[in-house]
Amino acid sequence: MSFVEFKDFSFAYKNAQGEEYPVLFDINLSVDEGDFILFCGSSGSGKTTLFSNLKKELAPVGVRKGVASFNGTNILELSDLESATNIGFLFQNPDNQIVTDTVIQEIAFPLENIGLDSEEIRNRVAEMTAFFGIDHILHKNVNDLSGGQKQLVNLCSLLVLKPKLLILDEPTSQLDPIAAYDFLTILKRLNEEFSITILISEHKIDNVFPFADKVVFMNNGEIKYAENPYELLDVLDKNSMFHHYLPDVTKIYSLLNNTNLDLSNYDVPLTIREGKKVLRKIDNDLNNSSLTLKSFGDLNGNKTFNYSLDPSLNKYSQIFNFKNNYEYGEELLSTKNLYFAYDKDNLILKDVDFSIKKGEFLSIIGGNGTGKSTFLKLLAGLLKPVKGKVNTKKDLRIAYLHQNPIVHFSKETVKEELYLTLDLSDSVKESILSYIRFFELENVLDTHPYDCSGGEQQKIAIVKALIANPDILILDEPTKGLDPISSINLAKILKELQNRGITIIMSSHNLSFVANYSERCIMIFDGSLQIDNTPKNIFSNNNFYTTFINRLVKDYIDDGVSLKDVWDEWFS
Amino acid sequence: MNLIKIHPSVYIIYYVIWLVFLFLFNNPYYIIASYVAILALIALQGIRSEFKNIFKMVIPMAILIFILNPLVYHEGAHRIYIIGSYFITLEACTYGIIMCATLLLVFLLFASYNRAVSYQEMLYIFSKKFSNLSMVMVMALRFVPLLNFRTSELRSIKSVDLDKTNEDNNGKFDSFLAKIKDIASVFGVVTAWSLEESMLTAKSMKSRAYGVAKRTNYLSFEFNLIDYVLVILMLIVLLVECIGLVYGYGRIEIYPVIGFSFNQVPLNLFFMLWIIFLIPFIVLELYERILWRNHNKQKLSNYNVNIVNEIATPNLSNLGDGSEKFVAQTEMCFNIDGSNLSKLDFEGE
Repeated sequence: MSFVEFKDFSFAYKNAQGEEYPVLFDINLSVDEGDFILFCGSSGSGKTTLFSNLKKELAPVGVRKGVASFNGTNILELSDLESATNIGFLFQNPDNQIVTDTVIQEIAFPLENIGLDSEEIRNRVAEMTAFFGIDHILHKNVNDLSGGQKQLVNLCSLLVLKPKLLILDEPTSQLDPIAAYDFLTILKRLNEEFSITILISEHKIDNVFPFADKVVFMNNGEIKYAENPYELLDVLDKNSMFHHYLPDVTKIYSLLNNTNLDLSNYDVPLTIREGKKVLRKIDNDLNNSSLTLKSFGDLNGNKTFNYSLDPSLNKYSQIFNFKNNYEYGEELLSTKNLYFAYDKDNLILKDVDFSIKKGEFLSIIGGNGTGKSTFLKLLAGLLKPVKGKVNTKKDLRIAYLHQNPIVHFSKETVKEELYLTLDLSDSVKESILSYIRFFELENVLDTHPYDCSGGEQQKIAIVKALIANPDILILDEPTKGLDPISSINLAKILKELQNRGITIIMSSHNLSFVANYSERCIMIFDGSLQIDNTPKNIFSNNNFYTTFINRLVKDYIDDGVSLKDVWDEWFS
Repeated sequence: MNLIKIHPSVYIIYYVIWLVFLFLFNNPYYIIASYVAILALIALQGIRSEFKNIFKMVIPMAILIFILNPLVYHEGAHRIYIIGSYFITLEACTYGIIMCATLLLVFLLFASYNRAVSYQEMLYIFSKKFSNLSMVMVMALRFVPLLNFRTSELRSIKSVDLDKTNEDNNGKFDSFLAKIKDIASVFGVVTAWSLEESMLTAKSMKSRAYGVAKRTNYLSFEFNLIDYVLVILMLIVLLVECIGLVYGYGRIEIYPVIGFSFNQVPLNLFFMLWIIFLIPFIVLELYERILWRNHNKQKLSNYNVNIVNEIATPNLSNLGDGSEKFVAQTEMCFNIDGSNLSKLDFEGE
């Protein structure tokens, strides 16, 4: 008997007319107690539905076949108390899971619900907060916490019930990389030290992949693979879709594997440590034949190692083919001595000088709360600076996209949202339709914008912004919560827009996205634009706040920060 | 108060009784006594920045009442002629003063109450009887700031749209209508957005066992001796003052003829008991101050003990032989709290 088990499990949603929308097909999966299981797959592949079928309270209404069981009991037959205490469920967004307004109340909330006496409640809260070291924020208002702290409070609030199984649905997708890493470390600790079974779905998997016992890949409601990560790599590498989910380290390994190098003696690396080991070994072997990995790419232009360009394997080409054909034009927007603060004692931006030219692709990075969003809002004219001015070219049109695309929607259908129902001239209508075709939104035109997936909502918001023909497109955290394939699609879109002469400014926590696609990068620190350079320069100078690729190949390629750099240096 | 724990329900009873009697009494001496007490209490509790707002709002309102009442209400025997045949009455003035004094007092009372009882404690009291209601209140406390945040986010975005749409509108009325339309659309989006997110909140509550059993509270308060004493005192006051009110103590006649002069100091049992009712929390606050002061003094006096007990005997035997070397041996005895003795030897070159 397995701890958690799906047996021939299928599920279909039912709409008001009684039509069925199958979401899960023949799921067979068994999980042992103490396992750490990672679920990967694009959004809409059925991960969330699968998860919510493990929690009685969240079990969606629909038609189900087969059995999902916990400890031998059908999930639906668990008592309310058993289900609530044994199975903890953490959602994506740290904000809207919080019910009360102070930290201690939030952590005590589930304990109050199951009717423990106050002595026991306080004991358990004391234990949990001491373990996580959050006793100093116990009486704080939740609004004063950072995203990472909020998610930690949410986790604490589950753990006080002493669950045996934790289900986490993209818990770090709304967090910045450092907070996400801290959070995952805690999960690992819970799994290793307390043997709590963990089921987690994640998009940024570089950190999770190495310590998962089993990785489950889902597509279109089916489980494609469910294996130990080390055993899966070969299969994944050949899969046209799932190879995007591999950690960057493994991607480089797979590139090297496709040359005439013989890597069969090396273990497949998942972590930077393992990756560096492999590279060192290769370097040593090369040294024996009086070559080095460092000069690998420029021996009179001859590549010592031939990348066997099997067209079916040429999967990264779509990343590498992004070229910026657009010459930067005139200066569109500039600021001089810009100061901003929400209140007197807390200057957010100090003395900021900034300018941007037509056709640039600028990304803004920096920790949480350093003022990235504020800066973007100032540029978009949504906030007024306390001192200084934002100078714009005459008749400059700026479009601003909020982190949460929902903000931009106020109509019943996507069609209305995109002005298609208005009486417009044919040429305008045609241009809107061309955007819709370009963004592949034809299928959702009649749905309510709230019912679209996160990626679709973002696309709709971008189209809505583009209809106004903006010169500058400002995006606040567009990469938040996107799965790897959606973020490649986003990159494609942004690059295409850039080629049409639209200037793009975005803030992002996704460093590899920044390194791969943008040409200019600004790091905000302590209220000023600390570094303003190409991503290549910024990341190759950083040791810690940098991409995984850079950490891996630092010793061999001086300015290798993205997969493309490695490709250019070693393979092309 | 940090050092003296008082059950929140005792506070609530106390402030409620005070509030009720404020409306029943209109004898200026009772009101003045209440003022002295509440100001002393607030001063001891620590005045916070909120007071600025209270005074900004309440004082103009009180002044307005004070001015308006005699202007619109002309009952009363003592007429004061202002212009020609237009008069106001002494009675109406008196009534206005008492009204606005009471009003201000109510606000001060609430301010003091807010300081004494945190809302968590209040919810604790309510959750015993109305557990669902108190849960709704807690959720509202979380929800309102979120709603605020969402509205401000949306308005900042919409403000740009608004500027654009208004460019075309020349007529003022049109732009006014557009503005109203815009506010309505912001409101619509905020509602939809909030509902959408609230669904997740509901899921999160459900998955954390909400509704599984009867809710309890993480706070717990015990009823101590001091609470019993205070409750008994308050009950006695309540009973006696009610009897007093029946016989007219604590109230003055205003209309039609004012029946009060400041010479009539109410030196009777009922007034004395009212003053006794006002005192206990002031005394407790003062007691806490004294405890802190004594503690600080104690710290100082402990140091004094150390200095007195310090014995320094430098060894001078090596001095005077021409060498620059000397060894000073210092023996120090520290007496900390009279129990802990430690010896330190210093040797220096």
